[in-house]
Amino acid sequence: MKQESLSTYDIFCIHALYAGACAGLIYPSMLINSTIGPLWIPIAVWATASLLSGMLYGRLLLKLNGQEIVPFVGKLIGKPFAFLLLLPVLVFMCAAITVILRSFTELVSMTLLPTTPMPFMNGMIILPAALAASGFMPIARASRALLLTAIGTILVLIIVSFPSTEWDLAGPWRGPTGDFFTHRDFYAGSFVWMGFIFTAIIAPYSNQQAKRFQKGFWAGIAFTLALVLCFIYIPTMTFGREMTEALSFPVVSKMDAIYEYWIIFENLTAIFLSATLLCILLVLALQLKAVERIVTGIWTKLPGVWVVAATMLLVFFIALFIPEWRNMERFIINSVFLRLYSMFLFPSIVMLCYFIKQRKAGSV
Amino acid sequence: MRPFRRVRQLAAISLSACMLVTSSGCWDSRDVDNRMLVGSIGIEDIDDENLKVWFRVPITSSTSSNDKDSSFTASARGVTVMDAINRVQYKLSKSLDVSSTRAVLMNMKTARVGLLPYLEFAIRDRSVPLDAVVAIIDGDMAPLFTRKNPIGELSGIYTKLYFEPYAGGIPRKNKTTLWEIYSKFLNPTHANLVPVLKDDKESLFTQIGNAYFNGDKYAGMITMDESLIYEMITERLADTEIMLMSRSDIKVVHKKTKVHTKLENGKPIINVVIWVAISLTDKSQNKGVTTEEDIKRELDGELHRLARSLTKKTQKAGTDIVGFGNRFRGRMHPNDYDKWPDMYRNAEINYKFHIRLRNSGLEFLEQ
Amino acid sequence: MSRLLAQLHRLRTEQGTGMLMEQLNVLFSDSSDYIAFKIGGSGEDEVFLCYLSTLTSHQQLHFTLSADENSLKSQLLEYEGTPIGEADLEECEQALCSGVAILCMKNSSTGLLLDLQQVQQRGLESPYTETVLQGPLYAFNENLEVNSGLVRQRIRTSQLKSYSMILGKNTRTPARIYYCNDVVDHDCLAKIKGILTNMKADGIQDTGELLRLMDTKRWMRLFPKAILTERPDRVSSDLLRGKIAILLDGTPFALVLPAVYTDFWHSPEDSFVNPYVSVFQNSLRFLAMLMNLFLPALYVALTSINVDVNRLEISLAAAASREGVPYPVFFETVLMLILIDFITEAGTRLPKAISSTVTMVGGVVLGQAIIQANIVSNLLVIIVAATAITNFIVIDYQMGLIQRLLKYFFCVGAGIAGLLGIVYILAAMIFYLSTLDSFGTPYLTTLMPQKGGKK
Repeated sequence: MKQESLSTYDIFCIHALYAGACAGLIYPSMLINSTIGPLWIPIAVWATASLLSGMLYGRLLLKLNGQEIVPFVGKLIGKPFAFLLLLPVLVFMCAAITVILRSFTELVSMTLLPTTPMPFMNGMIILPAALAASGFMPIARASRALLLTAIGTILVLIIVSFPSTEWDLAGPWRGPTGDFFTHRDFYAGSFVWMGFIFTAIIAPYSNQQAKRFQKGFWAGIAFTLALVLCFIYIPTMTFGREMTEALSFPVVSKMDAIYEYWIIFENLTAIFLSATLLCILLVLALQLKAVERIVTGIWTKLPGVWVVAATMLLVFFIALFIPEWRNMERFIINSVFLRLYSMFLFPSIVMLCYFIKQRKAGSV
Repeated sequence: MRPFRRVRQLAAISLSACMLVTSSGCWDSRDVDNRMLVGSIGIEDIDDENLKVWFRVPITSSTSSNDKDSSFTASARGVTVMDAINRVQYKLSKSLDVSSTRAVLMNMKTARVGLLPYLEFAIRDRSVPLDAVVAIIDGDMAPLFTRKNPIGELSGIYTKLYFEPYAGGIPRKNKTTLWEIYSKFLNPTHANLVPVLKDDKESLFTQIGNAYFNGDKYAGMITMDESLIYEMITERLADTEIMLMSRSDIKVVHKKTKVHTKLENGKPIINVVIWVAISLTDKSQNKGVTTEEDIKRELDGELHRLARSLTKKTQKAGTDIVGFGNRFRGRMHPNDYDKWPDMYRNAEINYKFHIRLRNSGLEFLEQ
Repeated sequence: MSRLLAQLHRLRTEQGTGMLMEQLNVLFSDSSDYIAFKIGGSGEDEVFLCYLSTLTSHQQLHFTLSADENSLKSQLLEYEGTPIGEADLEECEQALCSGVAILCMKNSSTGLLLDLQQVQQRGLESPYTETVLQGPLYAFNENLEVNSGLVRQRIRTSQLKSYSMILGKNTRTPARIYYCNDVVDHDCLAKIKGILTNMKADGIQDTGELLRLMDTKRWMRLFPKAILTERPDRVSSDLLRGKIAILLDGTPFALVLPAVYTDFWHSPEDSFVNPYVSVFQNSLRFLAMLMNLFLPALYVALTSINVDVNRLEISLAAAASREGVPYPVFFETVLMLILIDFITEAGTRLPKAISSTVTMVGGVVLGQAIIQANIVSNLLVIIVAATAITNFIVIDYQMGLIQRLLKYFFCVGAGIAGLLGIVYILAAMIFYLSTLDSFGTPYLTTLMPQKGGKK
């Protein structure tokens, strides 16, 4: 059989959906709260950081020669060390799945379905788990189909929310900067910028594919940047900085405030959340797959389906036992280290080990 | 192979059983005929402790089309709006659904005390839609809710049609939505302007002006004519508007506004230039000869007069209803935004009008 | 005639292996159409002709009454037909069943095959399920040879290859796989050949059944994996695009595979009409699909859970029309959907003359009465009617059936969680589709019409 391989467009689709799933919910309020100066500066800082990290991963992938990253690391430094090195990444991923799941269900509970029990809504993870269990190519294919529906809907919503915006309200455009570096919300917002880590960990990359990864990643980061700018500036340009700071989900409130005679639907929040749900389901599948890849990469004998099932149950129960929304926020803030580790430290260490090993091989 | 198959069958059966369980508990399902969809809410401050909340609910019936215009009014006292919503449920057989509310009407007293505490529930709980229109009611609230609407229930009580540009809304009516109110409350560089309605014998209500707010407290009212200047500066004048003058009536058909701002020694200087294109609709016959120049000169004078009185009123109260302050956001430190109302009081605001008589209608104007 | 005789005499007559004639008589005992009679003698041996009278035509055999005055015996005078071969018992049995006559000596162990096959078939008619207004107007019939001929007539190149096989242990249905050698995906071809060779089935009646047997994964059978078409032009255009066609004897439907999701939304007419029109028609179909899937579900969601998504006026109208309806929206909707499916089902199974009455009674009378009895709201009747109409826009019959099923899932989703429920089921559908593959080709390959085995 001909092996279907990942295309540049697939990688772009996955990144776009990742942005669609993450950028619209908690992130805008975090970023707006992190600074009193121009909003685009922290965004630009993160985009650059993401670019750097993505390039680091891209370099790493070029060294793989068709292997997957986890077995590669395992071979490089031995399984126990590889496990230690990957443990924070694994924890970060499980945490990311939990946070995305729980924050979305919490949001749905706040807005659309106030009386539907939480365990039932958290049960939606069963669908992404099923997709994750059936392999990576189905995820890529589904992402292509979802890009049209979910991101298409989000783009339409963005377009219809442009009327009733005022440039002046989003100011200052220049002015005091740098204050966000001391604000923890700035670091907490990093999760939006790391979709590429999941794709990097999952698929085996030949040289050609690693190049495609690079290209897809460029397009993805450009899209993420555009989406994040829209999601942050549209509410601020409508509501003004002060009100946006007071809102927990500015984009959701903005969707509520849209009113046009020709739009047949009244409450666009429901539409927005529907589109986001599509993105989130795919992203959850992607993340579950990444967890499975790490675990089966280290313990090759474990069957993937069981790993996915176990992760799903684990996440489900953790999400169930988080009592308050505050805990979630605190957790997002406190887990910054894990994210920074996954973005920069982990690939750097692997690269370093690789070079040391090569030098040794060269000198011998 | 066989035991595995049995496991699958079991799984399938239990899955479908789960489906049954879930479908029996459609938790948020409440059929539309079991809800009373509120058209408008009235919030009336009675004394320091209590407020009274009115709900006007259109009555639906499939039997005859003549009954379409009937409505049902419920009211309840409570400490907060949510409390009142809760209490009114005691009277009703169907669930009260405020999620489609079209208008929130507040009486003058709430406006004087401060609107914010009454409206917060809508933002926080997301119960009333953020795009509902808000208006202040001058006088008694009861007739607005208890009287039958002569224009018809569907066109009148939702009040939204009254303000909507696609229906009866003309720019001077100054449609104000809930989120605008809330955002301008919080925004120190922009003050609220809310339409004020009054009970009317022929239709249900009529507009008498627009109230400007200092923070969330009522500070004064501008007339409908002054509102026109406001609409011109904020470029909300998308439609045509009629202006009445001594020798002629003109129709404003097009306008463009440019605002130049600068900050000199902490004093804001604002220059507003407005281009107005007009067309003549009516000319008084008994006032002798009217030339184009006459009309332009008179209009210029009139516009300047309105602009001056608008500026004077709002500067006195320190309420920047136009939102000039937003233009200074880049020039001030964010921590200084709160000082804007005071700066606005001392601001120098100059108006300049360029008037073009685009045409004199389908009839020549004698030179 | 003399050659025939000579061959007859060369037939093996070993004693140990048993005599063909007697064994055939045993095998075909209790078959009233089995005929074995003596057609003459040749020396000491009597010559017998055995055949199934229902499958053979006698016109190729010419008998004459023997010139011998003592006995009035009929004798085989002449045989017109294809070359004859020699066959043993097993082959003879199969040959008899497919309409071949066996000529044998009384105690020979093998026989000669005379092809007297007479095939029951109808003429070429216009297609029943895939009607077009413009374009070729003939369809396959039940005869494999005719159907193969129709395909060959449309593709006049040596690159069109075919591969014959017999399917079914008892039916022994001949099947033919066609493909264009230069464009076909050979991996896919090998895979299909493998599946067909290893297939174990007693009998196959139709290509639809064949498709079901070829699809081995139990959970993955919801969506059709191959196109069933009775149009030779569709088969040949698909063959040229690199697909593989399987023709089966006894059915007018050819199986074209691999097929991906979007293939089911294209009508053969698309390539015959103006491209702008065909784009318009395609979008119309897409819209109809969405309406068909979502309309009843949206009704459930918007009148029971997400009421605020509607304009207030629509909600009021819905509330007014539901006034006095005793059932919850969800059950009301499912009830009506099932009812309309009853009507559709009744309409398809009945003769044309009666089916119009059924539609009339079902659609108009029942619809009117059910509103007046306040069992369902009139808004719902509009929605259900629109759903039923949009279902008929679906080009492919198999896909139309699936659509009829799917809308119930969406309704359940809407009943539980409103709009989000619908979207969740949509995601489930997309995920399911993305895990499917049609004989090696991913089911959600592309949204463009151009696709096939080879990329």
